[in-house]
Amino acid sequence: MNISVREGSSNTTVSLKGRFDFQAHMEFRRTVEGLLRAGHSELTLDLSEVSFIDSSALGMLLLARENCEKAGGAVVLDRPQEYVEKVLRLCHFDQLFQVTH
Amino acid sequence: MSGTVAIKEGSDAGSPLRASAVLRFAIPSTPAALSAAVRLVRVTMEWMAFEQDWVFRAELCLHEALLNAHFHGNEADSKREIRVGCSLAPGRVEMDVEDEGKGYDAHHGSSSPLKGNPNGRGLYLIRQFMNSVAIQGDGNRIVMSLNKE
Repeated sequence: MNISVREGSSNTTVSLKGRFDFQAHMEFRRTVEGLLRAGHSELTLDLSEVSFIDSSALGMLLLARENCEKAGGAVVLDRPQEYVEKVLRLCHFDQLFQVTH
Repeated sequence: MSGTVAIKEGSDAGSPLRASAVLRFAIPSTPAALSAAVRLVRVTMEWMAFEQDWVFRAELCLHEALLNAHFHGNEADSKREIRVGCSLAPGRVEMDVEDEGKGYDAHHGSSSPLKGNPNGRGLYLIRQFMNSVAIQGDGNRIVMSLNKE
């Protein structure tokens, strides 16, 4: 998976591309931890180019949400593709995160 | 990876639309082999012109079963193996995954996972996306299928 970051003054967008699965664990965690250290806790995760998501990635999203909320921020899931959104909804992530389209 | 792939052509010679395929192979318990196994099944299903929804369901559920086998069953030990079977036919997909571990509780993941818990969604997703799921052996073999009603 490729991760790119666009930092803004009030909100930071993290764009994910490819398969968001257990193999992305380290890179995703490092990215979020780095942003939190730099004071960015309002994160928008752009999922528009994520073609696949697994249960490990769901766990990563929850940890990111928990850490951002501890820092006073939040995580928004932006534009998930149809099948990714299906998985998010089945696991009630639409009740835990703000999902935007 | 070692194993067999058997493809039987359908009534329309040369057309994959009514073909059936049986894949049976063993992979080392490694992330790379796990990904290759999922890719092999997905490519075969796409070649057989399965609808996208079924390809997605089978890919996700095989992936989750292999993750369980690798991390929980085989304890990420690359010297162990995972055996995979996959039978594909029009209107039917059956897959089985067996690891060399001690097995796990068949009831785990049967209900909705705790909302905030980062773990425990793999088997839950499999139960949501497959028509039938059975845990066999000592709990180290999962058999799952999709059927056209």
